[in-house]
Amino acid sequence: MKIGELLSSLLLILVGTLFCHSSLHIGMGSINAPGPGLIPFGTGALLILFSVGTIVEVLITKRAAAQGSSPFFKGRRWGVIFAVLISLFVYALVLNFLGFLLATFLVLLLLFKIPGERTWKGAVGIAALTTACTYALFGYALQCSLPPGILEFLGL
Amino acid sequence: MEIFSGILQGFATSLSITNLAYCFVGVFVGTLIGVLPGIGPVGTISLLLPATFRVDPVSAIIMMAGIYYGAMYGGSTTSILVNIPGEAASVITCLDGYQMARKGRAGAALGISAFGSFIAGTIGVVALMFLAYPLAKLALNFGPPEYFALMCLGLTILTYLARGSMLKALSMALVGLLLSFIGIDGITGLPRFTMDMVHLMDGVGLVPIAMGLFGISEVLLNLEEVIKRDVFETKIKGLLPNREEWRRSKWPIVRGTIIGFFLGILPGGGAVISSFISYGLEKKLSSTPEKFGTGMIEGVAGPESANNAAVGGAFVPLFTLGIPANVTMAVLLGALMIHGLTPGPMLLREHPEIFWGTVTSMYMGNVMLLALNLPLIGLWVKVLKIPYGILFPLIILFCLIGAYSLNNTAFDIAVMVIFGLVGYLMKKLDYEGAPLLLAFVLGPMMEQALRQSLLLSHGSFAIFFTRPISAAAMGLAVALILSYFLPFLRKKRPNLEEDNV
Repeated sequence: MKIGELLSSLLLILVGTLFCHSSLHIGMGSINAPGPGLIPFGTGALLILFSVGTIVEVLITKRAAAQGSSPFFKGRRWGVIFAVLISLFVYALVLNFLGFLLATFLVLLLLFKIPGERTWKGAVGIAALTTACTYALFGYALQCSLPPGILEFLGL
Repeated sequence: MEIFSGILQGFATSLSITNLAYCFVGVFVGTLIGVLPGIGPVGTISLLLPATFRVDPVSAIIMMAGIYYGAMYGGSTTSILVNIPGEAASVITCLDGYQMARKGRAGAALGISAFGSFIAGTIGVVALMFLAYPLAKLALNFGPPEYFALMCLGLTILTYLARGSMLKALSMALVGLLLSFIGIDGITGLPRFTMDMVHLMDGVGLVPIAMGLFGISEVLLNLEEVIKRDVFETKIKGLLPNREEWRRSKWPIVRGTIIGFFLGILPGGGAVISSFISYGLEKKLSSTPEKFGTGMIEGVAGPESANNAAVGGAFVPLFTLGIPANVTMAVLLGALMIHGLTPGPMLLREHPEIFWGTVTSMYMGNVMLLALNLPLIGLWVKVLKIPYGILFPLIILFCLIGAYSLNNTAFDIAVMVIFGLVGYLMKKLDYEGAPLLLAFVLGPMMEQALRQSLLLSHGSFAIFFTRPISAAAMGLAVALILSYFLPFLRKKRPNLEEDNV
């Protein structure tokens, strides 16, 4: 756990540094006439300070092994989580090109299939049904504008 | 007299067919997500936000408030029947509620939590009405230093009460502030931290962040293991608690209501904390504290009342100061602002129908919830039995559509997925999402107030300590931070989740 906490604190220090760095470029103004960069700079600096503090805290506190928090590698299903995240990310990338109907059907197919309890046939059926229902609900009933994509010729 | 005409005006608004319908949808969806694990009120309100764009702001707020208090009702059902809390505020109900169910008193436990919630919810709303006007009048005199100090205090309390390290919680609040600075600067009109991306010109959206941190990440956590949910197979009969049970629950409900309402006003998860404190108090006051955890009705009645009264309390700072007390209120604030309304003392004056309509709709909502939760309990038990393999793709799908339809851009979906991953890792590493989101909402207001204060004072931070209200708020915030860092005081810091369970 300590490794994860140290790495995350280092990451936050990096984030703080990046914000401080670009704040300097935006224009700091002065304390009696604050510019757009002044307060982000201060916030970033505080973030660096607190993250350093967290590192110190992690290093000096001796903790019992089990302190309520779940161990990082407890889950045996890392693959599932990874697969879900990748599917969703790809969905964001292809949504405008494939269109709502096709992209949603494909992502649902994966989501229903990934946990591994369903056959392909079952997953196809339930994904198709869900896509149709949500399209009816959001596209027609709630009048959300959903991207038609390559299926535009269908005129749905 | 203002209050009475306000109430009348409020009922005129909330009793319209449209608003009753929105109220019903709100409490229904609220109960549903309260029952379902893996999606809470924050995620749901963000999800439904895009759907309310074409709706009157009053109706939108009525519905979203309904989701919030409806979730409190629904959360208790799963605690009692399955020993899995649907909401954080119902965690403590598991202890005695589930034991009551095992002893064949599931009906009474569900009944008392519904009645307790109803009584507390209604009293909370009454207290909200009477407190809001005087407080809003007071708040009209507040200048930027007062607002800045109060927001600092709010964030400090939230981080102080956070689980685990306060340093980590403070870091998260700062990350939230930094995220809120992305986009066009409100004062100079210059783009900041946009990395030359057009999509970031308007800033990062509240909805994708909230749904990522509180929706997607929850789903990912639940996917880690195959969840088995055994609904306690029992005939739920006799939802009315008997006379003896009423006698024992009476005072816990009253005490829970008072604790809940006042803790609800304070920032930092009022509903959750007040339910823990109420449980602890009932245990302390009981003549048989050793029996707690074996199915004591006091242990259900008190906390369930407290978490519902806290909802009324949480609206006080939102409507009177424009400062949200918790993450759900922060999302509601975001919703009001998207509708072009700025909550705060001026809202009560300029748009009284929003305040009174929402408040009076909460009476109606509480009545509807009683009707929804008691006779329809069988329906909710069925919902509980939906396998997670079906449920999670649906939750994700709604999040995808919600994120997309806000601005009709796939960029927001990507932001949501990234924050889903971030939220998941944060939970693994014991960082809390609430300070981040609250700070993200408060960020622009805090920055503006700070800049204006510094302009007023010609660059002197003493301005925060020379005006009485801001001095008191700042003093309290500093005291809280010191009490964490001074090691000899540190042991006294309340660790609610460990001490009281």
